[in-house]
Amino acid sequence: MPGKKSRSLASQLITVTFAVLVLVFAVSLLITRYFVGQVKLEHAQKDLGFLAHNKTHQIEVDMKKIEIQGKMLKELLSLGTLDERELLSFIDKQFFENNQLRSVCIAQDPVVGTPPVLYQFLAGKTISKKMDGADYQFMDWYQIPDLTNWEYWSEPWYDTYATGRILVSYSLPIQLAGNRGILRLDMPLESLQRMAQQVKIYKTGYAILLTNNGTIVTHPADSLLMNYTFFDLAEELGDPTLRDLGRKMCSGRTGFLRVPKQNKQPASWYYYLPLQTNQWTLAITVPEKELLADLNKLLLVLFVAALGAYFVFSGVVYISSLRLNYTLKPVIESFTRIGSGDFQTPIPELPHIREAEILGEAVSAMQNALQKYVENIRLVTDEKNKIMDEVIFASAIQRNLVPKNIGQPLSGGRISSFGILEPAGEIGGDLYDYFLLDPDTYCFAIADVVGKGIGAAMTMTMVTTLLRSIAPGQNKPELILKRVNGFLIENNLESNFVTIILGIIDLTTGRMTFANSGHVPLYIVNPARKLRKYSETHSTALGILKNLKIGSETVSLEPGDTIVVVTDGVTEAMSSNEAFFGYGRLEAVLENLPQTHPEITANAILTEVHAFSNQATHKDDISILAIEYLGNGRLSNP
Amino acid sequence: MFLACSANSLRRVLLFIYSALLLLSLAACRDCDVPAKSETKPDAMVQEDTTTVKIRFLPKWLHQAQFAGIYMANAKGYYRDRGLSVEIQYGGPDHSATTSLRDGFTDITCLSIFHAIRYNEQEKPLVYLAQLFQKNPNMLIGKKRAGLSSLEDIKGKKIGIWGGEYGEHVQLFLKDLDLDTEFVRVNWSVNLLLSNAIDLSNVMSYNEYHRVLMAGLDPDELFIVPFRDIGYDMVDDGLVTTREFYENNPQACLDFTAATMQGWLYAFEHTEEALDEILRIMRQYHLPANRNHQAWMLEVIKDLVLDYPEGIGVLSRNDYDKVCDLMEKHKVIRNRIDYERFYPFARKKK
Repeated sequence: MPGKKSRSLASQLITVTFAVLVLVFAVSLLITRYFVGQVKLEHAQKDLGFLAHNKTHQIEVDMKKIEIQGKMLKELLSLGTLDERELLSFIDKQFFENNQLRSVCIAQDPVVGTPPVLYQFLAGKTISKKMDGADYQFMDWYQIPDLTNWEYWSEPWYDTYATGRILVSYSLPIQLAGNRGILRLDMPLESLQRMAQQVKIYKTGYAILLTNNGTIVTHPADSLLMNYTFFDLAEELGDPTLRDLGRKMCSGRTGFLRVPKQNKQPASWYYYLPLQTNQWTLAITVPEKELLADLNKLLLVLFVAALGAYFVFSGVVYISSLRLNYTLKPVIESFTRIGSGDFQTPIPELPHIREAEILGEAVSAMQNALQKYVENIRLVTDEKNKIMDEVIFASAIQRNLVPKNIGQPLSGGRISSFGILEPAGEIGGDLYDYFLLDPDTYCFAIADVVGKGIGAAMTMTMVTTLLRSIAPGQNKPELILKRVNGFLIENNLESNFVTIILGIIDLTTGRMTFANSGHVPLYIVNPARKLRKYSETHSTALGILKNLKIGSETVSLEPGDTIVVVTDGVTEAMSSNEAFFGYGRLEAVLENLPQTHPEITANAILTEVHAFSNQATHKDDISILAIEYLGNGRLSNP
Repeated sequence: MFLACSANSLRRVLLFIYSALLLLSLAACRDCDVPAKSETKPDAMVQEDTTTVKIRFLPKWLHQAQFAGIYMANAKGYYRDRGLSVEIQYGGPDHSATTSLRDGFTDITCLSIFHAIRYNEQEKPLVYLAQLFQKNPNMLIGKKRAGLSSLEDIKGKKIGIWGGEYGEHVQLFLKDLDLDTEFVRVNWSVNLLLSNAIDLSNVMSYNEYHRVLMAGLDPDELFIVPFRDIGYDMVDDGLVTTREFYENNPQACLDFTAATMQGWLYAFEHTEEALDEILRIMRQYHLPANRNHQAWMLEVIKDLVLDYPEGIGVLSRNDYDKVCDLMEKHKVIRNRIDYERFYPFARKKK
């Protein structure tokens, strides 16, 4: 294709293969990733769930112990039978039974006016102290169970009054000697944190422990601990998905959720479940890329394998195409030579590929056909050349049949003639002729054989020859033409229709008898450029009807009169805008002749016809014959 | 009036205009509001001109973005540039601002205007230096699922109100509404509301309200009553000092006030830098430094401080009268102190 650079077979094969492979590979990768990913996530959910349940169980062991201890102590206190020593002893025993129990506080309604008593295990023994001045009734651990009359696990709180540590407290409403009060059992937050912080899974998976309010108790980022809630984190990261997750986690539900990549946080999966005791939440989170690390490795291996396969395949295709090219090279050269005309070029052996063999057979067949065709062309051309030689020869003969314009008047200067025959091709179908029948009788003819080429030329030749042979001794043009007609009918020539004007002039009297068989009009121009036009035909064209009746007409010529006869090549000459030269222009030429000399007259007509007509489209023979009757004495032209 | 500016937009351009007007105003106030040197203590004033004046400032609460203007004025050297050496003390529930002021441990602090007026009459004469919060930040919030959807629903509910000076004026106002509610004195924890021990809680828009949101509750789950929407549209925190301190150090008080307001404008315009400074101070005092919460607080306070169209730091006569009307109605005070005496930087009537 012009303007479009063709690409090698190897390049096209590799490109197409690459596109198909990429498509197939991408689809297979996506399908693999989806299904294997689902399986991996199911496994991860089980793994994380198992770990989370174990860890919450571990965390809650001590908390449940504290709940049981609290309820036992509440029962004892409600009985009101314990004295201070027995109470101290009981609490001391509880410290031994649960090393996560760090302090116990018994607070009565402030109305009673008795300060809370705090029991602590210090230096190997349990001591009690009164918390004078503490504004305890407005602290969560007191006020919330007091207002709700429910047991209450507190949020982590900083005990500035006694232990100086962050505690998580279990508070129970109690009755002490008929007064309301709150029993509080404390455990250090750090023990819960320590247990949750032990969680390590996958590469960087970790546990987050959240309080009821979403406060982050354990997290790898220390700056968040006891400072940020999960919702603070979500807000700071601008991640509404994280906030939704926080709400689910703090609602006491269990779940496994994905949080999409946001800002610098990678996409992660969270498994979360509540602690049964205080409804805090333990969540274990792992970046998705770690959960799916094996899958990603598998996909990478598949990708590399596919890439390798592609390169191997491309290499094989490339080498194969090179081999094919190597094999095809002499074939291509051979075809190129054939294409440039060397049809004899032998076709080399083609590779044993079906398509190549078919191509070779086709080229071979084409080569044979071309050889035959070229031979035919050569024969036809030779024949044509021979014919053309003969035509050229015939043309020469034909031109020789037409009288030569000798430039001298005939018959003692009584008549002067000048003729022009301009065939459209090598040979033509027009003729003109003039000759003396006897010293005082002048005969002229102009004819147009219908048709062109060899046939018309031959007819013209025969008619000329016939005229010359039968005219002597005749003084009636119609009889001569009748014989010509008979000849044409009898010989059944291919081009046997002939229009003709034949005239016989008595040079002594100036009487001219002529017959017009279907030819264009005859003109007589006198020296004053006055025209006489003889349009009447005396019969149809010769060669059509066997018993043709032919008439004639006799006119008198004055010395100086010029007879002008032409063939239709003059009147039907066509201009570039398809207008005919016509009789009007012919008559105008004759009326404006500078001289009435036959040669000038004939050339003037021809010049005008040439000027008028489009030479490229001029397809008809042109014949012009001008005859000037000079009388018995020579006339000089005006 | 030493601060005359016109803007209530929070945009940076207007902050710049605030800054420019603030500086112009300060220059003007040197001639109009500060008592003549001969009226006070000439020796002290002479000393003021040549030596650094030390000022102890006590925040009314723990260090947080509520006092960002003070921190930034100090950090950017606005106090030092005016010949002041400001000590920022440690505040909080265990360090009462009024007690510290009364006992002479503090020179300047911030109090709600309600406290300042009562303290002025009942304990020690005060001078109000500037009005910081031009809008009231108090809100009542409760969970809609507790059956709260209108003010009528508050009837019979438990409302947690802060104790002491922090909740008294709120309680007076709610009594005015005659809502037949049960007041429960609470400390500063929002856990009572979150654990449903109370139905509604008194919160600040810049602080506890955000903590409730950051406990996972969405605004559309909350019944929220901003006090200013139900008639309690009194201004809130302002800068105060004792009359004694003011009369001894009038120029220092003016400079402290101007530098503080300049610090506020800087904090609003350079939020991240201000947050860095706030968190640095909080960490220095081992306080939980939650940047997200402090950012919220600073943003809300920006709205509170820049709300007044006539200027930053201005106590209008109308706002002053509104507070006095409520206090007289509830017999918290008997005779209101003259506006211009209580607030000597007030714009003079022409």
